Amino acid sequence: MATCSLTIEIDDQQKAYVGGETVSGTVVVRCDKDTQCQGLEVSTNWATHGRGNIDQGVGEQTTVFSGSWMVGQEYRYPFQLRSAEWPPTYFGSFLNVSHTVRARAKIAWAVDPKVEKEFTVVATQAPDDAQPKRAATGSFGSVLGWIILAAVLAIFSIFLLWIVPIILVIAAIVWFFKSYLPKQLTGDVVADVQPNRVLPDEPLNCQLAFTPKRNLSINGITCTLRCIEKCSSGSGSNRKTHTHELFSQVATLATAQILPAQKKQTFAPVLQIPETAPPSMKLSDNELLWTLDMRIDIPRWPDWTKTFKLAVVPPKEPLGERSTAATGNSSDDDTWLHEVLNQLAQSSDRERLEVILQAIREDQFTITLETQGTLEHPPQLTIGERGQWLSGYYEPHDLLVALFLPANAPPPVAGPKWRGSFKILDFDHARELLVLKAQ
Amino acid sequence: MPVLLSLMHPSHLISPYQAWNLRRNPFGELTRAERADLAVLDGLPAWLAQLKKPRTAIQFLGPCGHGKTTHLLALQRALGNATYVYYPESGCRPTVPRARPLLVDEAQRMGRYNLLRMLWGPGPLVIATHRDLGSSLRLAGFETVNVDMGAPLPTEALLEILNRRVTASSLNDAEPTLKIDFTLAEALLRKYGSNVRAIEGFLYEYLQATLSGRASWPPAV
Repeated sequence: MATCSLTIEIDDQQKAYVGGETVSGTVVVRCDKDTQCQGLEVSTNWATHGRGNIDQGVGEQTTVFSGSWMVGQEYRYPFQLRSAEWPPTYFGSFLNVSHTVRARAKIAWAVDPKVEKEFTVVATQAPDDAQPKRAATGSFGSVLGWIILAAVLAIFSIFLLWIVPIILVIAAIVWFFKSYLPKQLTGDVVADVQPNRVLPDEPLNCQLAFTPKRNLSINGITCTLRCIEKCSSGSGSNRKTHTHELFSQVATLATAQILPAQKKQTFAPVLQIPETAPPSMKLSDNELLWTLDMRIDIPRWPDWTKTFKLAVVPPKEPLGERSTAATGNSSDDDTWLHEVLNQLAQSSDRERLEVILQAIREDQFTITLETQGTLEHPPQLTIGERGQWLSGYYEPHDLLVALFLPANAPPPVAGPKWRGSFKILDFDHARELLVLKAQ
Repeated sequence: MPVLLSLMHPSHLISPYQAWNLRRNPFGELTRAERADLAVLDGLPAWLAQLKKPRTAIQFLGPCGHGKTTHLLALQRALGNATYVYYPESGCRPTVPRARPLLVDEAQRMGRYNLLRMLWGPGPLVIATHRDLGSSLRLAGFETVNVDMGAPLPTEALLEILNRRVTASSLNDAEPTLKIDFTLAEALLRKYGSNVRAIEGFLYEYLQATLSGRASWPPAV
């Protein structure tokens, strides 16, 4: 059946390539019979995968060879191709973006053998359309736009006169409940967020000010920073939108109380975009959205709400050059711990193990362990302080744990479970034992 | 230093699928070409023989999510020179092409004019529809084969559909660690009937939950 097998070797597989950077490697071809190749095409590509329809694109494509291949020979074709600049690699829940090098040999009267290999791309700049649109402020262009829109609507409304009253009634109901009623109690509300194009780890300065017309009872005032994956699958009546909340941080600006009439209420909370925040992305059927919602929760009355779309743009500094602090916040992240433990389990080589331990020596993790009393044979490690060794078990990774509890640390809660923060000191491959120190 | 570098990546840059010898979640959306590649069509040889006759039609009839479009795409691939046309729910309806064989998706939305145009034209035709157009086809003189897509799906067929997806999503030359077994397939059919789209949706979310440590595989359906 198969006459040729293709393999791709990327020179630096572990590297995180900056969008647009050149990826180099070799396509290796072996054939089990003499073959005439009409073209060996190699390309860099990106594609989404997950719950939404597939969005995809090509970075660069080239033909590295055409001609004859002899049975039993190995042929190696080096390539250098620019990766796509946008979107960057992303693995989420409903949305994923993968970058690959693809090779395909065009062979007449046979199925074209093809292969692809994944590599990681990080972005250092977002496309310009990542900037959220601000409300128009009356420029000539916008006025002209409204005139054209009104003219088009007027022409169409001649044919669709019956639908106009329905639209007007729906719009009036929405306006009445969403805007008119809340403002009867809150008065005019001034709300703003700066900047709306923001980097990871940067603060968001929010502003909310209003003067209640009369004594206003509230359940609370909140600001919610959210990151949502929004993917659409199918088309027409089969089209379905799937959303998944990736991140949510609620800042409570005021708790339940009665705000006095005619007294100006001003709030200026500062929210922080997480250090490891993925950038906003807008593709045809897949979107990664960052929003900030402000809400004045009024009991038995429509709430006042406003949503700001934010553009979280990637940091200019390539990820590989950032300090280990870049992942500092992820130490309490289950996925990060999962990855670290996988890396440790795969590192039977002591030198590799040391590299990993060195890289995570400042990281703290929070997990729940099943403790089994004092450890009889503690690891041969110099801790440099007094304390006791406990034996434990970490169920998600099926690992035995040696936990060092310093004398000044709070004693473990009575019962079989121990939850706390710790650092990873070592990993004993012979005993499959994870060595931790409580913090 | 490569290991150190990979450890410095935030989790959204690290594929959770690699640990399972996968390059993606096998139960996510596919491109049209992939859907055609992975389709499981037991009746394909008989249908291809049927479509050699000039005034013949095959109707795939059933509700959403039961594989009508996938069958059409696979037949288009097998026929090689067939024309595929999709009728959207709203907006402009495309005019029925003259080319044959003709594959019409969502034929219940064609409208009277396009339906008559199709029926007055020659065959062979392949249609996917939610509404039975068999009597109209027969009245117009088409020898019609009706395929009931809402009929119960055999467990073996579901196993084949799901495991083909898993194999197609595996990393190059790697054996996928994920397998759908007979018991799971039976349980899924009991819960979701022949709605393959609903089954894939459930498996997608369950696998994601497993990858993030919130569940363990296989799912208890």
